[in-house]
Amino acid sequence: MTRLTQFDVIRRNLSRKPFRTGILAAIVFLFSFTLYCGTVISQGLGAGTRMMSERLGADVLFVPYGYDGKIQNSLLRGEPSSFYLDSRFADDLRGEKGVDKVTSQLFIATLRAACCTLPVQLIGIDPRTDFVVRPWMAAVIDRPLGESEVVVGHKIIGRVGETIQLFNREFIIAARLDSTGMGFDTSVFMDLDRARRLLLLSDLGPHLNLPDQLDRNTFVSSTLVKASPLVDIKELVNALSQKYAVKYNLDFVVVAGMISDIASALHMFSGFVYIFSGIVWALALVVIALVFSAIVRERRKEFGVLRVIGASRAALAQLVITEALLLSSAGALLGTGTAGLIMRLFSAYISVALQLPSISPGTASLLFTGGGVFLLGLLTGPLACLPAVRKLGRIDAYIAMREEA
Amino acid sequence: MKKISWGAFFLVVLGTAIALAPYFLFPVCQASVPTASGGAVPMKCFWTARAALGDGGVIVFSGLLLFFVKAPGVRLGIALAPLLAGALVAATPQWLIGVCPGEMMACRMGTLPALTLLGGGAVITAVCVAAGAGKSMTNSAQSASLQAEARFRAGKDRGAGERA
Repeated sequence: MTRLTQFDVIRRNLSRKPFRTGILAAIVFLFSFTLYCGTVISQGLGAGTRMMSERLGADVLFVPYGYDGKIQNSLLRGEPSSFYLDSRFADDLRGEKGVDKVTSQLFIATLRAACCTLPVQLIGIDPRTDFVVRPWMAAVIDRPLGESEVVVGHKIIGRVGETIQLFNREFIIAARLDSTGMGFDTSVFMDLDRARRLLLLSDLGPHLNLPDQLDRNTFVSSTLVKASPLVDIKELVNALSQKYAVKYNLDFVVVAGMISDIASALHMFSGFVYIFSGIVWALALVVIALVFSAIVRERRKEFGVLRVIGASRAALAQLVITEALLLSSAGALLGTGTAGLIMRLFSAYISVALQLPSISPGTASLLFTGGGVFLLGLLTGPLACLPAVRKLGRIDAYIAMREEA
Repeated sequence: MKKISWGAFFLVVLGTAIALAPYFLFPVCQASVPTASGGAVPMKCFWTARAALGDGGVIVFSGLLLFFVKAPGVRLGIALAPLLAGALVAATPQWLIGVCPGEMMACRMGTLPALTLLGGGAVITAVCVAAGAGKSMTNSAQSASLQAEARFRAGKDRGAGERA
């Protein structure tokens, strides 16, 4: 004869009512899944925002009038665009009070090739004055770029040493940047003069919105300004705009404002995730508590018999708590596991769908978050069944057996 | 109440999702590769989508069969089809045909993970159906052997009684 263990009793109780077991586990699954996905996305957005504020060393970006949105889309999401500004503006700024550093960049959108490529953002940087890209590019290449060399973003196809074709010309990939979570990941960097010549030689000026009135040797796309220490950025922007906005047809983006907009979007998202998870958790606690209350009421006779044959109140409590623990562990394990798998497989898709700078957290961070969420899901069942366990303690074996008889 | 075959139901849902995902849910790239002669041929992901359509059809058909077939041995045999088809669904975008190389291409960002996940789901579901069928086969074999043993004992007792 096989001995009936406590675990056998629990297993049989759970498998006797598969629908009820499934629903209770599904609630814990939903909680774990929501919390894990939300936390990982929030972490990714937080890391992306931090990376962006570190990587954008400028305080103000000046662009042609009406292109403030375009440059933000290019920086945040890598949406390629081409726009042009007179480079003499940068020379004028160099003597201005409150301006510490000035550099210019040229943004050119490449055309879509037929297969397996997307248009990329070509960014020409001025090696003599650049203070935005060079400092972190130095980690992968510490020498000036050659005539036919480019540095590519993390998501551009091709290995270091291989060639990449831009405007029908071959370029050697000199280095590949680490992931930034920003539009820089889908950008190609080259020297400003080389980028300008490439555009002029390609005869694509009319297709890339190159205005006829611009000086063919000096046009750029944006001028980036680093303010002197202790200078009020708003006042500086006001003063510069008043002086040059009409002359050069300017618009501007204050980097701190752009980052604070992203940070507030991130806070809103995180708030929504945690409120929603909190509601699901409360729902899980209430539903499990109610169901376990009903279970205890339904099984009064069984518990009475167990008490009569010698089971202590603690053993009965252990029986109910273990049952709840098994339920919630199944839900939490499936919920965290599924969420982890989805976040891992769809990280690029989610990052693009969010349209905000985002960096996928590392494996250690994913495991740590998963562990925390699993633990919280695991505790849901035992916590929720505590009222039922208290009720169990009040059962009188003799009365319970007589009631049910 | 008639018992629903959840395994069959999930296989039909997963098979439908596999067949439709590369066209509607996570569509593959729409562009084609120009040839030297001036024509155009579809990209790799186009063929991956076609393969998924076929594999998905096999999984849906197997799921539908499982709704009607009750014999455990036959169910076990049928479950092998979605098991292999699910494995093919996951392997096709990864190794067998592949998708476009660019990390930002729609097929790599959406179709590849979706087919991997759905194919894996079909394999797990098929394994569960096969395990269920295997268990039923073992149970029926055990009960048949118990019945045979009971009949044998009953016959033995009757023979002893008659002899007495």
